[in-house]
Amino acid sequence: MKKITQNILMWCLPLLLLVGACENKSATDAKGKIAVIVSTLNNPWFVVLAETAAQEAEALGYEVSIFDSQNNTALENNHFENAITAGFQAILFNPTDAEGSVSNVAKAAEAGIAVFCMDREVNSSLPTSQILSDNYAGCVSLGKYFVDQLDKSGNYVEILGLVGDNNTWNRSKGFHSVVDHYPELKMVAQQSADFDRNKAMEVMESILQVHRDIDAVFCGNDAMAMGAYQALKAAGMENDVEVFGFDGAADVVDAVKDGRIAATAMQFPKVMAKTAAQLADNYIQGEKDFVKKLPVDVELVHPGNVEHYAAYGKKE
Amino acid sequence: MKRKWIKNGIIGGLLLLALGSSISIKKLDQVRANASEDAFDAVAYAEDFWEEELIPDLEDAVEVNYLTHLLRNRPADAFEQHSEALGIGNIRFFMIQGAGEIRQVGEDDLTVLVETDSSSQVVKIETEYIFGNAVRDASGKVDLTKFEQTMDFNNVSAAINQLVRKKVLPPLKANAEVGKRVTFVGAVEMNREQVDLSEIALIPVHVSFMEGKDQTAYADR
Repeated sequence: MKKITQNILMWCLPLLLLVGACENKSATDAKGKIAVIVSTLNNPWFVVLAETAAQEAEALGYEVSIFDSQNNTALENNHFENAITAGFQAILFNPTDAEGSVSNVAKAAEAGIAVFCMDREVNSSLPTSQILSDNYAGCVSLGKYFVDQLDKSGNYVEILGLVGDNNTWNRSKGFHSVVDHYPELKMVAQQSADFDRNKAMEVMESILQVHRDIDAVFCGNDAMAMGAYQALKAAGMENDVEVFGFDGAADVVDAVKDGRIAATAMQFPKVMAKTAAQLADNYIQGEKDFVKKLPVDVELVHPGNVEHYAAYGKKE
Repeated sequence: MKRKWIKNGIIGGLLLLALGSSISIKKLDQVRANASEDAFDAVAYAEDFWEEELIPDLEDAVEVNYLTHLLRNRPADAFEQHSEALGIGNIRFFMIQGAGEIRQVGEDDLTVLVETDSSSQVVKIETEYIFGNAVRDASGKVDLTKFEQTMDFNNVSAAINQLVRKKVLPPLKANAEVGKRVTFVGAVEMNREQVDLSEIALIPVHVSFMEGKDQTAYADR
């Protein structure tokens, strides 16, 4: 009897997880089915990306399901297998890992399903197209502003995102391509906080136990910038240390306005998501020739120009 | 009992044999050398691009006062006809040329006033912040789709900027004085929705100091 119960649980649990992960936006007279597979919905930025992609695909006449990979490549693998067996025609994809996600894209390609990467890159030419923020250029602009604000000297901390994600390194390298030219700017600590606000707060707290003499913190995304700011505030150092983010999230745009955050770089998740959905529609309608990589501009947001921007994009 | 030990011993031995044949040990130096042989050489690419594609076409750069006139009166045409960009968005790049008088020698740039018969424009020639993709992208000649990895593409920009620091800046900084006249060609970044013509920041690709009659000849081009 116990074994039967175990078997039932073993078979039902994945199904329940799948149902929980999917948000089915069915339409009985849909043109077809498009899957949105997103690295995590535990970050508002990715919620905007996924929701916009889904809304645009729905507006174009498709039945859409959103799958949350929870930053787990194995879970992402399950989502791909489900999307393939369930007859989705295209996948709007935000990968968990530049290398680790390649096999999933390969599976979809083998099954003849188009994959359009959004925001995060996979190290492969297999995706039908990759619509990516120009992270490197965005961080070059941030780096120049950073150097100006610190007047070319000071101690700083860098908090990195996920180490397996290309965006993490494109941002870091763009930033360092500028800052490393100034020998009086010294990086006293560099640690990863996985793009996560709480982890960034913990990382910053532990760094502050060793390094109190810092002038700035450069964070690989806005969630981490807010986490670092919280830690600095708890330590009574929020007015002495300038915090720089990357994304253009709602709370950070507000924080740039009132001077809590020095600057951020505005990505355009809605532009990327809409473009991916439109390209998927073109693919399903018969177009097969796509540019392999399509960069989307990233714009520096600082107190001098913040009035042009709102959360996740331009002020409308 | 004894048979069980013999059986386990044989299985263990086979496993060790299989494990041993699946591992090959190489020196770390050798692995690193092979990896660097396969790596994309951004410096060599940039040097070739500089000599073969960038410098030969500098004469095609748009004249700065003509461009600013167009930007004030028909901005859509100015961006459409004279700017380059890789992807989606408002960041665009121009390759511009001009001639003018150095009005100020600053810590990070030179202020040059470019005057023609009908208008004048202040251009800041960068001597410090030589960063970003302006030169690569303003040329319109480096194709992202030809690069396997985005980072290789970005490394090309870094290598081009290094050439500007090495080839263009030393003679410029050594000879810059208020009152001297220069001709210049370089790359400019502009946000299509936030155009600010009060001063144009230019990354120089070619600068030469002018003497005598050459001054006006180049300024009117």
